[in-house]
Amino acid sequence: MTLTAGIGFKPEHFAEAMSAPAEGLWFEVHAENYMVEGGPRIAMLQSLRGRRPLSLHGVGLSLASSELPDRAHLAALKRLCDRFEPALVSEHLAWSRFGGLCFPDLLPFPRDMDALRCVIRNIAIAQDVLGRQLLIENPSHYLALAGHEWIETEFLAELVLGSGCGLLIDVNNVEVSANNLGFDAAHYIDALPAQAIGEIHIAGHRPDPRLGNRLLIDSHDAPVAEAVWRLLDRLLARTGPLPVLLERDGDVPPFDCLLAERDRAAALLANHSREEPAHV
Amino acid sequence: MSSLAAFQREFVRAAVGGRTPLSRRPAFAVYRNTSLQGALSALAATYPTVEQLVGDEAFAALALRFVRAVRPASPVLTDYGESFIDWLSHQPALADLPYLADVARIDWMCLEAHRAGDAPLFDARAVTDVSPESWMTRRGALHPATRISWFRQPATSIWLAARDGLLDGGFAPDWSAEGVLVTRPAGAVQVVRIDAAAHRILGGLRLGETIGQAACAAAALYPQADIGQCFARILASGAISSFTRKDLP
Repeated sequence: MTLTAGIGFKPEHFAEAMSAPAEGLWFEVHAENYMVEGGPRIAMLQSLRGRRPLSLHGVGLSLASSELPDRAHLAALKRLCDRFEPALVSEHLAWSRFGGLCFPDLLPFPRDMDALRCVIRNIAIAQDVLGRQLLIENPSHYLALAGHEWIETEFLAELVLGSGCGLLIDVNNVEVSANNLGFDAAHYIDALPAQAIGEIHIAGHRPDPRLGNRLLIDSHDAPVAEAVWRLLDRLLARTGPLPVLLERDGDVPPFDCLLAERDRAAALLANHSREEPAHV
Repeated sequence: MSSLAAFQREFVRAAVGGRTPLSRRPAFAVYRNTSLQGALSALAATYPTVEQLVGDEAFAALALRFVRAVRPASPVLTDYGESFIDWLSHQPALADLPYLADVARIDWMCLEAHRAGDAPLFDARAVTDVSPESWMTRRGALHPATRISWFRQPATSIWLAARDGLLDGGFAPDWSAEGVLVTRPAGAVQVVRIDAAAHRILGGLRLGETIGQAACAAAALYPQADIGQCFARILASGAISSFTRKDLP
């Protein structure tokens, strides 16, 4: 089955997710939520996997770190891959672990030569253990950091060349970061290495409660913004059809609402499948 | 030190509350809050009965103090917060809720049971074709999800009353020691109150005693207990996954 548009899976949507007839529908889960020995959570995901392709999206490998990836965590991810045979496996260009502490977040870093070497090394270690390619996601940015030697699109291209990874481009993260750091989102989309992209994320965001629109938060608790739909359209014009995933983690609406939003992405994919991808 | 390690060290210092140039920037609060919120949500999800007993606001305040003292050590957030149980028992402000840490223990046992490994539940037919004397040579292997504990206070009764919404309206448990048995029959976690005899039998099985040894020890220690009925309830709870013959030397 060709993956078209998918939805981030929520356990409360299990029954509807199992019976949804949509063509090309697939589901993504956060790998860490299923790093358990067994029980009803695993059984549920096994049932879902029996019906639909699955993507494992990791949030805890801390690849953009000076420290090596945690071996036990990598082994847990490997067990999940063996168990569920996911169509896609992805992680983030971010760090979350340092000196024995874990931060349940995706933290930024200056994109300098040292960071490039560390991230390439860590992706290579992870891909060796997993025995497959990882897709690496561009993060949301809130702080302008000093010390960057690469702009992000060029850094991502170096990661692809240096480690053989693919890319997961979150166009909502592009919109949020462009707003917060003051760069042009469309230019960012146009500068991405299109051939390396294997998946696209869309999601909703919100203005920061204190700072307003000056600081957008990648909150995943709202419908996808129109500006993000336009970025998706722009990116698909370059890449041609790719698996697109709708993320929703807060204020989760009924499954039908998510499916309707997902169908809009599927329709956009259908439009782009009728054109020749530009691939430039 | 590499430039990335130096940056990470500085970032962590700001994230855990240090006053640094980074932490003074308004947008840095997004990172501090996201990390805190992730850990706070995990605690609230793991300890719903504690939250119910102390109230949302008091729980949020307790959880915040705990998270600042004990940060997650794993990116798997359901692994986080076992030491909250012990931490609760050392809070002077909670001295009038001496059972709270034990209630927290039951919440944690439920989480453990929920995510424990899978194993078949015992087949009831296996019990009927066992001759009475052969019980002395049969072991009952506990299901991976089975958890037992013993409390000096009626923590199980309080936990069950909270779950069933019975805490208001003159709830007054018999103020004595009692145990808890947490199981996962048919995929759903179940909590039952157990007496000292059942706790002795289950504890014995966990240590590798045969059914007969555990039952005899419980009967000797608690002569008032109906050991047969006690054993029947243990079987019905799904605590045991299989019976195996003890290999005699």
